Amino acid sequence: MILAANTSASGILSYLTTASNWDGSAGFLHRLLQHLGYSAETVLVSAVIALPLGLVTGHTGRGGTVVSMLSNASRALPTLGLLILFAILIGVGIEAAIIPLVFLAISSILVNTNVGVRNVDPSLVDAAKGMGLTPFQVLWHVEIPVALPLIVLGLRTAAIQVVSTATIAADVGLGGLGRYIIDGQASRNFAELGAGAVIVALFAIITEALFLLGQRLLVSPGIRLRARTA
Amino acid sequence: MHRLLPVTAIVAALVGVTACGSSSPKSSSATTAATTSNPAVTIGSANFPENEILADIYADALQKAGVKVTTKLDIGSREVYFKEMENGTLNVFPEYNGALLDYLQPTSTASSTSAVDTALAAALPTSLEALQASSAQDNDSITVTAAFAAAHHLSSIADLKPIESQITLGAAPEFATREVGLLGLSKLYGITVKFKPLDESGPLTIAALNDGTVQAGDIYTTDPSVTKYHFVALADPNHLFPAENVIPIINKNVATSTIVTTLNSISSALTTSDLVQLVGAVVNDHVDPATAASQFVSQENLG
Repeated sequence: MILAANTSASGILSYLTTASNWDGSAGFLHRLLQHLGYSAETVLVSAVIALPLGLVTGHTGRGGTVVSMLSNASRALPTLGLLILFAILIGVGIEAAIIPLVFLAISSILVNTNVGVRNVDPSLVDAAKGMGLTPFQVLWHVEIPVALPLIVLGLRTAAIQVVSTATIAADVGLGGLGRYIIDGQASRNFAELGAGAVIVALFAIITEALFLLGQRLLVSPGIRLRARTA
Repeated sequence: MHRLLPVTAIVAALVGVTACGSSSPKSSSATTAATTSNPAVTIGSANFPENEILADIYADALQKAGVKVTTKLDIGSREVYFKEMENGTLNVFPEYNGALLDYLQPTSTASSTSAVDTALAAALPTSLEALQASSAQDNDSITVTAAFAAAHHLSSIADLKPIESQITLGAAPEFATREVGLLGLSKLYGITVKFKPLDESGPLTIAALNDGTVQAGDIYTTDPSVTKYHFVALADPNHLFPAENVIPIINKNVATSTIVTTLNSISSALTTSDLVQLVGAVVNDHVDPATAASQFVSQENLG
């Protein structure tokens, strides 16, 4: 068993370090870009849907139940099942992969945005109102900056889930890093399968790191301090 | 006929357990005026509609020939039913020459019907005998829509050569790297096509053929989608796909002349298009398999 593990680990390493596996339409670079494209598009679409919904429900304090119902429902849908359903219904295009991934991603963005805005210290909101800020100004200048750590956390969680789950796009003939996993398994080329899994894992870790960096740049130092002392 | 292969490993363990205890998931017996000269026969089938229809055809024809028949249909894996064939619990089984040869002798490279039949006769255990293979095949095929076939005058895989640059072929991912796949297509026909990894004669390949995402797909020759969507399976004169002719396997302890003659007459009558019609009727139109089988036997005057 130990021998087998070593053999496969070295097989994965040699697959990863073979230059020809990085070039061309079946190479890592091309598929990494495809994977990045699917993931970015999914997170973008999900954010466009979930952020406004989360902000409005959080700001008004209404519809919290609906938000949690929606997000629980979308989280409960099996992504692979949806993928194959849409592939059969609308054909094996990129939409067939993006739609199920959006269902997956909406949940964490929606809930975190809603909770983040709703839980902003009411005295801050009162003070802003007392200074004569309009409801939109209250949201933009007070609630969003204060809720930003949670909002970014929602986006980060969604992005990591999408990066790792976008591998299933390969199951309906699309590209991305999942190709190595699906093809490797189908043709029993376990070095290819393992190499694909390693690249996906690295990609997810890099995504996490980029979001943490973005959070440092975006969130006001005062909020960070509050969070630390709280 | 690869559909049994991936199932076997997983199902063998599961079915193995149940098959030891009570090995008749769908058991029925019918008695006619059994002649004393012929032993009672137990016919088995695997667990997919086409194979059950074939077992029903064998059963119906043998009953009409005066043989006492019991059927044991719906057996999940070749590992299980082949053992029962060997020890005589089952006496007759509708098999596929290529798939059975691959089970008995995975290294065999026989491809044409006659080569596969010869290799199979040699590979079978002494208790079993392969009777006459029918021309009916449940095989992988390169399949196109009727409209595409008409537009480009396609009847054989070789006809794809002039339009190879326009073709994207959909099949299971492993098709890309196998001899029975793109490698063989290029070696035997000199044809190179673009490839879309989908599934093995499954819903994705069927949907992609219908919406034009792919122009050709690997579809089983008797798949119910063939009648449903008017697909055309291209002929394979250079044997890219190994033969998968329907062939009756019999345990020698029941191989009397009446039984052998009856089964061989079924093989003589049965064609791939018969099988396509039968599977289409059962799967698409929900006709009872036994009814469809009985109609076929009467119509062809078998038994």
